[in-house]
This record gives sequence, C-alpha cells and structure tokens, in this order.
Amino acid sequence: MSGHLLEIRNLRTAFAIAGGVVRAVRGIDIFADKGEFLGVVGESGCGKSVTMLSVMRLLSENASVKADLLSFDGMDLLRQSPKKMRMLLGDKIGMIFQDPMTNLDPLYTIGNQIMEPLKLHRKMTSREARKRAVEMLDLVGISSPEQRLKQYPHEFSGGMRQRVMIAIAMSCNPKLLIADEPTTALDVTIQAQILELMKDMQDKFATATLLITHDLGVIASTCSRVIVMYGGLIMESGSTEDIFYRPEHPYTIGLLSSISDVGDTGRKKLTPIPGSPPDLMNPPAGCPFTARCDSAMRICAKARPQMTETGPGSGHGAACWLSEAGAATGKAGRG
Amino acid sequence: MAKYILKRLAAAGISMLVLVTATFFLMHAVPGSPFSPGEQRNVPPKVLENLRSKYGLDLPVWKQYLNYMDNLFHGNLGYSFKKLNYTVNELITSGFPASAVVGALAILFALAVGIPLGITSALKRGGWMDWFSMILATVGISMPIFIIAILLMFVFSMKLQILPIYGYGTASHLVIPVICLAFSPIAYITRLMRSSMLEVLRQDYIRSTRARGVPELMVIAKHGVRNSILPVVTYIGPLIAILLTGSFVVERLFMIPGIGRYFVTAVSERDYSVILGITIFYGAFIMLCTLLVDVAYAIIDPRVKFTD
Repeated sequence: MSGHLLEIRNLRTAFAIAGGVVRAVRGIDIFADKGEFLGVVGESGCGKSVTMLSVMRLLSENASVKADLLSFDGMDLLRQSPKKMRMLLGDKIGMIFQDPMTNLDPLYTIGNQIMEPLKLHRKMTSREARKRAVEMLDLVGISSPEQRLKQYPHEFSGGMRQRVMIAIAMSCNPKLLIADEPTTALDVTIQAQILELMKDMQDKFATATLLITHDLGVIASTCSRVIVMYGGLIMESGSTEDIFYRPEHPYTIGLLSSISDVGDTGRKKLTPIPGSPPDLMNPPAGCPFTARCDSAMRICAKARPQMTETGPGSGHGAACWLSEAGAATGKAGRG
Repeated sequence: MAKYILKRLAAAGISMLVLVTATFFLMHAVPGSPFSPGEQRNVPPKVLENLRSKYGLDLPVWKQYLNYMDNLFHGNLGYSFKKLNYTVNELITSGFPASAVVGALAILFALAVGIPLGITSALKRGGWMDWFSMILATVGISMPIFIIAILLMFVFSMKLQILPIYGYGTASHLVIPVICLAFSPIAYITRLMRSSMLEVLRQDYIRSTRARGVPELMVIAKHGVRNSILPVVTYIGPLIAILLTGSFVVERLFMIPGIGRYFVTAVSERDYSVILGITIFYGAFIMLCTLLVDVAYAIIDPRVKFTD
C-alpha cells in the first residue's frame, strides 16, 4: 500500500440514466497526506463531489465506480465489505456537506445527532456521549452547549448549524475530513468564521482536510495544495502558490482571471470563460476544455494530454498539450 | 399545550352546537315524521296523535329544539322513537363495543400491513413488492367494500369453509369483517407511506446520516420513518373515527351488533332521537380524533408549534 493517507488511482464513476451513461469522473488520481489541507476546485458538474462520494460509496444505485486503487490509511477500500466501509465513515472519515439547513434531521435534537456516531463507533454510553457532545459544541464555538444540545436544528442559524455539522464530523476524531462546499450556503462573514474553525480543527486534531469548492478565494485562504478539475478530469495540481502565481493550464488561468479582487478599483474587467462545460454523456475524445480554450491546437481535440510535471519532483503538473510541448522542448511551461 | 387543547375543545363545543342544530332542523325539514299517517298505515289516527304528543312531536319545532338541547346538556339523548323502551344512550352503549372492537382491529391491521408495505415499496422501488403494492392499492381504492366482502365470504366461508359467514362473538367471526374494513385503508396507507418515504430518502440529511456510518436499518427506522409518517397520521385521524363508530355496510353485511346498523335503520324509520344521538356521538368522535392527530403532530415534529 502507498504511504499516503488517501490515495485514489484512475477513478472512473459513471451514472446510468435514462438515455445513456453520464461519465462524471473519467480517470483521476488524487492523494492526500496526513494533516494536509487539500483543495479540490472546479465549476459545477466537474465531478469533484462525485469523486468523494464514490470513494465513500455514498452514491445512488445507478452509479458504477471503478478504480485501479482506492486506499485509505493502509486499507484497500475496494475490498472492504459494506459493513467495514460503514464503520469507517463517521469514525475515521468525517464529512461535511454543503447546505447546513438540510443536512441535519429536523426531528431530532442536535444532541441526539452528535451522540449518534459516538455511540455507534466509540461504543460510548449516553452519558459519555453527552459529555463529549458538550465538549465538541464548546470547541466549535457554540455557547451554552448544554442547553443547545436539547434544541432542534430549526432553532439554529445557518452558520451555527454548520458548526454543529463540523462538531459531528470531528467528534470521533477522524483522520480525514471531507468538506464538500462547506461554506457555499453561508454568507461571507460566516464563511470566514467557518473556514477559520476548520483550520483550527485541523491543527488541533491533525486531521487531513479535503476541501471541495468552486471558490478559489476559499482555497487561497486555507489550502496548501490544490487540484483543479474540469469535465471529470484533473487539469492541474500543485501547491497553492504554484496554482495562483504560476498557473500552467489555460483553464486554471481562466478561472483565476474570472475572480474579482476586493482591492481592485474597478478598472480591471473580469474575464469570464466563454462557453459551457462539456456534455459528459458524450465526453470529447481529447482535452475537455478544448472548445473553450483560447490556445487550443489541433491535437487538443484528438487526444487527451497526460499529466506533465513542470519540473522533476516539483509536485506541480498540468494535463495540457502546451505543457507537454513545453516540457519536451525544455521550456518551463508557458510564458 | 394544555391551553391549546382547552382552546381546541372550546372550538369543538361550538362546532358540536352547529352540528346538532343543523341536523335537527334538516331532519325536521324532510317531509314525513316518525308517526305520520303515511309511515304507519295500520294505526288509527287517534293513536298516532297520542304517540306524537308522548314524544313531544306536537309542539312547535323551536320548542322541540329547546327541549332537546335541554336534555342534551344533561347528557340525555332521549328515548328511541321506534325501539320501545330503549334510550338512545343505551343503544349507543350497547352498539359501540362491537363497532369499536371491529374498527380498532381493522385500524391496527391496516397500519401493521400498510406501513411496512409502503416502506418496502419505497426502498425496493420498481421491484416486485412495489408492483404488488401498486396493484393492491388500485384494487383497494377502486373496489367497493361489499364486493370485497362477498368475495371473501365466497372464498373463506363457502369454498374453504374455514370462517363463519356472518355473526359476532368469537375471534373467527372477526376475520372477514376486519379484512374488509382494512382493505382500502391499507391501500391508502401504503401509497402515502411509499411516496412520503421516497421524498424523505432524497433528503440531504439521510445522506449525511449514512455518511456518519449509521447502519441502513437505523437510517430507515429512526430517521426515515419518523420523517415520513406525518401524512399517514393525518389520514389516520378521521379513519379512526370512521372505523370505530362502525361501518354501516360491513355491520349490516355481517350482522355485527354495532351502532352503524342502528344508524341505518334509524334513518329509514325516521327515528329522530337515534339519528341525532348517533350524529352527535360520531361528530364528537371525529373532533376528538382530529385533536389527537394535531397533538401527535407536535410530538412527532418539534417544528410544529401551537399558537395559544
């Protein structure tokens, strides 16, 4: 097994729907190390959430998941029984989802829902679980946790609910926390608080965090490494600095120029990426970004480029024919 | 909550008053009366006149109404006009137990079959269970109860001869009437539970719960069922009232000595006091059941708040 905490090799996920097969993820490699804060970024429908749900086996029955390797903490996830897999979820792997308004069961108290995984995975008694629940609520910054435990989700605000979600996810002290758009449904000030809290949690528990988002701003303020996805494939990956200051892939460059800057006086125009993402029912043979790419060449539409590192051991690579050409001629990427 | 219930009871009292008044005057507005010459052909007019004055029918209607209300407030529903020496209170207390036993068993049976059937059809959507429940529901909703009753009588009493065809007294007498009564409620409950469960299974919190490693059985039993049971509870309220107070058709078909039977005869015989008495009893029962459903709502769903 690999030395990484989480390693995904050549993951392919497809959904059988009426009228065809949607190839949502078409062969991607991701790894995450212990205690690392990894970001996965891409626009809606690029396969970032599906990737994680595939690994966790949380997809609906019409999904087929194939991979060359799925390992977590030295375990081969492809070979685990559903029961073993279930024991892992909520214990070693915590998850936070996008909308805190809909991700808590409205009919049970917050306490009941925090205590649920504790009793299940840690075999705690109700009393022990309650004590731990109080600690967790306190830790995520919810005041008077003892009273709050007895309250129902509808008595909490959005930000508070996301704190509760984090408390639930962290309660069993997971090795990996997967956060799927955890701040998307929150307003900006709350967003910052929640990200701060997640950073804090990662420091305290040494948890590897995998943050899925479409918001580059969120990535910049939290992650140390970034994976850029598009059309079910990885376009570019590297350290946050590499991605922000030395982007290789035209798609990454496009993403970066389409975000606004607060310090901006308004003179700089935002440059959107024209066009729309590829149809994953009939994915293009070559690079999925070809149709929207300014620098597209003839080869781009025909063959899919391989991930090419900018330099040996740099950890920064892009799946682009331009980079491949650059690497071949010895130039360091695109000017 | 207590304040809310009191308020609801007061409102129910007003509804009862309206119900009694409307029934009373409608009943009297219908041509004919218990002792009109048209109804009792072989009785001399003088006797009929005496009978009318005995039951106070010779008084003006408004006076009769006041007398009735006076008795009602003292808990007295009066004498039956047609069953000699029986009070309406006696008729209800003698008929209700049989109706209630058959009705309660039918409700329990309907819930015990309908809820699990609905859940399994939702979980195995498109499977044979789902098809079976769909067919059952269509049949149950569209087939009149007397057809089902005759079919069951034919199969179990005449061909197989394992169950008595009618009567009341032993457990075996109850089987066919209970199945008959439960048939269409099973169909409704199955469909309600199925659609509501499908809706709940799509919710984010179900996926979140799975993502916490909660076993599937617990996901369904703890989070799924409680979230999807409300439509069924809504339906059960009036159903309890209807079934417990007796089904007219089933009681007649199977000769069950319940109040449903009395009600049917009372209407055809224009037995004013029995019609009114049973209507009041039935109305009170429905109001009570609706109140119970609303209280059950609040117990199931903490978001339901009573505004006092």
